[in-house]
Amino acid sequence: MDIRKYFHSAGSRAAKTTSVSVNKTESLNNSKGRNNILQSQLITEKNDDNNNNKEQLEKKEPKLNKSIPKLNDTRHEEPSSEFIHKKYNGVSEEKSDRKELGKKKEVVKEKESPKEREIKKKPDEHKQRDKTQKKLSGKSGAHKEDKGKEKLNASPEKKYEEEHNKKIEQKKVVVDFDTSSKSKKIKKQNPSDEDYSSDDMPQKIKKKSKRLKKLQLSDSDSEEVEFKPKLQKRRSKFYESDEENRANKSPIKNFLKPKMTNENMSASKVKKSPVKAKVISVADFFGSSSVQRTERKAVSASKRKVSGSCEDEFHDDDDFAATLELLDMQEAQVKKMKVETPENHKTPTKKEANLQKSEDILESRIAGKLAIKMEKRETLKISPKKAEEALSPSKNTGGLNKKNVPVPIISPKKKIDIPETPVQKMQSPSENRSAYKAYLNRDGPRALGSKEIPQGADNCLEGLTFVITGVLESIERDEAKSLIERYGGKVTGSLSGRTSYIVIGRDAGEAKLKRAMSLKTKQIDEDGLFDLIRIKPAKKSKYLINAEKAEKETRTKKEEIKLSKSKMESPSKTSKKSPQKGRSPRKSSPQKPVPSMSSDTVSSRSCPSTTKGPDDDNNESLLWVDKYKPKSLKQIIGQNGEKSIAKKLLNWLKNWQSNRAANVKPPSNRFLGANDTGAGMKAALLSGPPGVGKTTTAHLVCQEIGFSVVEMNASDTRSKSCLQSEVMTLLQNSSLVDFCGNGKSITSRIKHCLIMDEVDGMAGNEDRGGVAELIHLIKTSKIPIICLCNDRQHPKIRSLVNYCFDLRFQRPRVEQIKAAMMTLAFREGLKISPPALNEIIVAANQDIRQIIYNLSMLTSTAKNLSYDEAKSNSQKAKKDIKLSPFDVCRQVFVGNEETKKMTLDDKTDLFFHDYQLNPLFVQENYPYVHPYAGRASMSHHLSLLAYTAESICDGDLVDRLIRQQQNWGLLPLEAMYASVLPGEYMRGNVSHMVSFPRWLGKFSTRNKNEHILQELCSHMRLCISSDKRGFNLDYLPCLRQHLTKPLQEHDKDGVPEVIKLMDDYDIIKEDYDNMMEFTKWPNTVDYSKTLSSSTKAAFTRAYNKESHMTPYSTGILSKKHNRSAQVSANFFKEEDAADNQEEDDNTDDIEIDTMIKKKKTGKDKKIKSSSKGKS
Amino acid sequence: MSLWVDKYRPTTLNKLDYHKDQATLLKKLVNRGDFPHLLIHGPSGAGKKTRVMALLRELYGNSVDKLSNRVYNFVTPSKKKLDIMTISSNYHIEVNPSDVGVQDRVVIQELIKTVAEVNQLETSSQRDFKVIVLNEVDRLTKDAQHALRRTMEKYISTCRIILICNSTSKVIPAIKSRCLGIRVPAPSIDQMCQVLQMVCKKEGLVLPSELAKKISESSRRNMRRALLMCEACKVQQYPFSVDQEVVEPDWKLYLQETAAMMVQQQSPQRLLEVRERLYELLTHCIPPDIIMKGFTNFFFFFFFTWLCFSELSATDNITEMSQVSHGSTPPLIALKRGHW
Repeated sequence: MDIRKYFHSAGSRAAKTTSVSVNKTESLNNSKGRNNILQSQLITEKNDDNNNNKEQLEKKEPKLNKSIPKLNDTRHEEPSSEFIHKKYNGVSEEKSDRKELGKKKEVVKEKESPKEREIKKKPDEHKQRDKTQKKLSGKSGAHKEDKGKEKLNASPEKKYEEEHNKKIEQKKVVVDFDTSSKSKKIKKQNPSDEDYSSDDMPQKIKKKSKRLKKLQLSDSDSEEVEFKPKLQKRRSKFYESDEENRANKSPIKNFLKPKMTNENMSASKVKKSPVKAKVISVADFFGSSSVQRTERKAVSASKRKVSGSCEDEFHDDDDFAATLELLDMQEAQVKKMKVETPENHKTPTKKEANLQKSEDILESRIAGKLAIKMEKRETLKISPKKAEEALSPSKNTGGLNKKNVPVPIISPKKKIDIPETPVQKMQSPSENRSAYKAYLNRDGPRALGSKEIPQGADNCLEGLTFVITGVLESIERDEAKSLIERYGGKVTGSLSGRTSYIVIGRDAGEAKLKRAMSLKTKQIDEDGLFDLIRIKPAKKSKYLINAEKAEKETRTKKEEIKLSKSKMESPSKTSKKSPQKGRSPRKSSPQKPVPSMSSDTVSSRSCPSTTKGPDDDNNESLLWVDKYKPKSLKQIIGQNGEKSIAKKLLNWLKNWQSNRAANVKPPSNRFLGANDTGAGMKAALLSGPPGVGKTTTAHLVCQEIGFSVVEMNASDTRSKSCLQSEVMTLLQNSSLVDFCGNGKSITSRIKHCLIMDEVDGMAGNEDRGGVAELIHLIKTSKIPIICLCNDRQHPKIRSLVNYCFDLRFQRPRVEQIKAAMMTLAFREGLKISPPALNEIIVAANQDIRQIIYNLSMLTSTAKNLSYDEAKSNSQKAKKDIKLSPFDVCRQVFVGNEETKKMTLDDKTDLFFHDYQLNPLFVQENYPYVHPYAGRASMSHHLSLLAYTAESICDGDLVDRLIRQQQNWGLLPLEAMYASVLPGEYMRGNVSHMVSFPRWLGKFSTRNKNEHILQELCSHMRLCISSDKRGFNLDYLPCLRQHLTKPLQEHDKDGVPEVIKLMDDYDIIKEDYDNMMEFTKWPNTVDYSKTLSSSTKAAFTRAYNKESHMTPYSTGILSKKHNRSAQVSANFFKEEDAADNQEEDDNTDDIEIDTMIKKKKTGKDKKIKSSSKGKS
Repeated sequence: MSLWVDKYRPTTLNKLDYHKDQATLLKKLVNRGDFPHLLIHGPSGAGKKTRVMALLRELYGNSVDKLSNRVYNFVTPSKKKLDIMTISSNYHIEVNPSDVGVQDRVVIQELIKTVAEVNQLETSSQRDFKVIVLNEVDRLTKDAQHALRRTMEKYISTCRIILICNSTSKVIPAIKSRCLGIRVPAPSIDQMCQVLQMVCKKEGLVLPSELAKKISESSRRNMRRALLMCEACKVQQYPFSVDQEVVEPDWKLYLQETAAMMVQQQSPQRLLEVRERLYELLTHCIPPDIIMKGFTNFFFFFFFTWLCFSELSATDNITEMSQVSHGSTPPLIALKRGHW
């Protein structure tokens, strides 16, 4: 039978659901999901009810048996039928489920009036069965993180059509089902449930039967109700649960009433749904169809779309978390719906009423959620074998005890309030301040360490979002942040609707407070935060829950597989899809729901199951990096945006042929920024840090457009000759086609693309001439070439850049990576909290490859990675990251917990981050540090400064030795003197922004001045007897005075005097200006400002009017002559000749030699004589 | 109308104003027809270069005044191109090898060798050697000095080398032993006053002897600086008055201010300010040794005056003394007035 196949494939899930449903059918259970809600809401009572449950179950079962003969039999007594096997696999679960269900029923019943109970029991069998089935399907989905749902949903749609045709048969089948086996029906109904929401199909059905319509109505109602509350639930999520629990009861009553009305409908459902189920094939269920979603999920789906669209731009952790949250809620809500549905079924109009109640409901859900988690833990503990025992009274009594506990959240057990020894902190209070100059006045925490840092339960802040504003008194902000993150909370920078608490410190930001008021965010102070940590009960992180669930499912699946080895068709398919690389291959196979779910929720890396690796076995051996390698462009992290590099590359490659055909020239202006399409460029150059996906992008882009790729990387010899011989042929390959192609036929044929990987590695003897040849190749190429490199600034690459479409990769942002990594962790069943992941990502410096490697290494022993572990591990990993000199300098001086722990080696390592710059940074910044040791008195401080300076001087001496004698072995010594010792002396607050060493600037100014001085000196050399130094110290002040005084005192009349002096000393105007500039001191008057502009102009004019002869050649001579009208063109030649001659001319007549220049005006013999006179 | 210092520079050994004994000695040395390598050292502004030029004139006559600038190009083994400017007449060449910094060895090797290797064409009418004048020999790197020492021996027949430096402490002994060392001490205050008076007389000015003394002292026995300062004073205010303020160069004032700041207050803040000022001094190419010397002088002077002052105040006024001892208010007036 088809159905049987289906069952096989549906396997574990179905088995569970069926069994459960069977048990439940009588009572109100519409769906597993709903049941869950119920469970959650009633969890406190559930245990109490266990005993009763049994009784009730017994009561009900007989009824069931009546209405549906053999129900129990089929389940328990028909081992021959395959699906029963499955059931048995699921039995353990069934039982637990049964228990729960029973409990719920009881609870419900208790609340209900006796009348209601009776009513329900009798008629609802069918209907409830239906519902349970539906919900079971839903539930399974929810349980398995909704993937199941979607897949289930998808398949039914197709089948609907067929089903319609087979209507008649279906009915018969239905009958069969009812009689023969409930479980089958249930399973078939699952799809049907989801189907009803799909628009097309249901309509047809409507025509055929009123019942169906009713069904739809009711279903759609329930859906709407389901999802609206979800939204609200989020908000109300954090309310304390006491009140909510109380509130639970009222809605439940309401829910229970409507059941009577639904009876008819349910009956009809029962009939139809099984029919549909018949058609469903395994493939539909488990095949690649996970992508398809039915409309039942409309709301959630739309939400996902939203998140999906976000993914396009980046993968935000918020979205990710949100979707996770959503899932949790759905789970809870589905359960709730169980309770609610009856009402909904009654009349659609009641929806509204429900909505109004939603608040209460929401509150109850929170409790419910918690309860679920607890429950799960319980159920997990119960091994399948012991499932039976679980039903035993002993457990029930345990449950009874639990009932007494009023609210799970407040249960004393969970309030772990162990006072911790106060954490001593020596933090610099300035940590906050230094962030901002604006915050300079703000004090740091005033009472650091005065309060005990509470130790809360694990993940007690799970799902809460905090915003910290102002200065917390007893705890550093960083500290507070990591505290919150440690307990699963999230700290954001700005307020939003999602923010659950705002932690207010001293001098809190006005804007934030206002916004908090408007958003009605809960405001707490730091004590409040601590209390929160103390009080909040432990929660399991969602990730943990999911991971556990996956594990659980795998376990059941495994068993199932064992049982039904015969028909492995479908399971094998599923195993293919699952990317899991569990330790045992078996484990991984059944985890389908996990991956598909994650693919829904997040992640560029998650791929639809179809695209997943070829075989499970293959996957086993693959490193994660390869296993989760993006399979399509969309999956590349951070490359989804419209303006992303990958898109640009794609467009460029797409248009390559057409551009070439059209003979598009590269734009002359190469700085088009973001709008550059690279049209006309024959090659693209992708550059960026390692591990961001350059190679992957290049390959995927080629794959996307259908280019076949030839790759040459550093492992290939890429010397000039090699490139010529091998690549040339390749590049010329397509030339013929180009001739006849005219650009149209091009698309049809196979296209080639050359990827030159790691071009910056094309150096050394091996690849000599490689880059030059590559450039040549690019010029003549007839296929696109994509070059990849890390270091774009490499001299060789720089020459290449001119011929390439320059695309630069940036590191993806932490959030983008985090989302993807979360998915990966999911699939691998890792338990890792987002903050922990954050640490790892930051530690790896956003190198995705590194992150994945780290992840797989860190979790190789345990699949669980706590925040602390991650933090410490990432600390270790951090060592390899190159710090900026600014950070290094801060590290050298700052005194905090971290630097306290640093060993001598660590401190020395700081120096080696950049042994050239670090000493300069230390020297620049040491006076700004407020050393702790110098707090006592100024003299202490000063002597510390003195020691530091001395040490720096010693370091400088060592540096000199190193450079002069190439004695690089002394570097560690320099490290001591130049970095470690100053750091030790001055360790304290770095209140100032670490500034760049000004010495560098001063030094270059000095060199410039030196050059000027040298030039001046050489110009005046004939006249003065002094060396450079004496000239600077003695001549210049006096000269300046003589050159400026006349102008100042006599204005224009002083001009000739000045010019005379200049000529005497062979100074040209440029020298004059230089001199003025050079002799400017901060404490003296700027002469140029004292002069009137007219005087200056007159001076310049007068100077330019005459030609001045100098005994040296000046570059500006010709310029000047251009200006002066007297000079003839002939003269230029002469002068040039003279210049050339000067070098060669060894003739004795020096006068002529010098005169050649002076000859310009032809009249100057005076000068010769004057120079004689001087000497 | 060049500056006095250039205008009235003595051109022959006979015209030298002071160290006349030494002048006669040099004259004798030259008149013998031959002389060894010379190492002329002495403080700046003492007249070393003047004596060298006078010596050359004595050797070759007036033709040494026909000077020309010439730029030589060299390529170092590491393919770096160097330009160095030389001043040369037919008979001598003057180089400052330290202009090219650490590559001065190349200059020594290439330039001097090429010059020294060429014999005078006409030995009958002229000396059979050329003279190479090397300035700032104390700035030469050790490498260059070693390169020099072999050259000095090898080409003794064709050239004589005159080394000019401020201090012989940085000249390697091997070179010192190959040269006749001639020290040109700084003129005494009286000698300087004489020179100043003479120059003013030639200019037709009247210089009060007090002012001349003041200028001489202020210039720290640097003849060149004294003449320049004197001229600056003239520009400042011509009819000289006895109590006229001597114009100090800007950098010196700046240096003094800086030193005063250091004495005035000791705090991290002040440290930063002083560092900034030191940078300023350095960017103006004030040699570090001048800066350090200036500071030391100032501190000595300060200490001195402070001692005197505290002695006074011990008897007179306790509060003043305490003020001084705190260093918060140094006797700035004394500092300004003082010559250090």
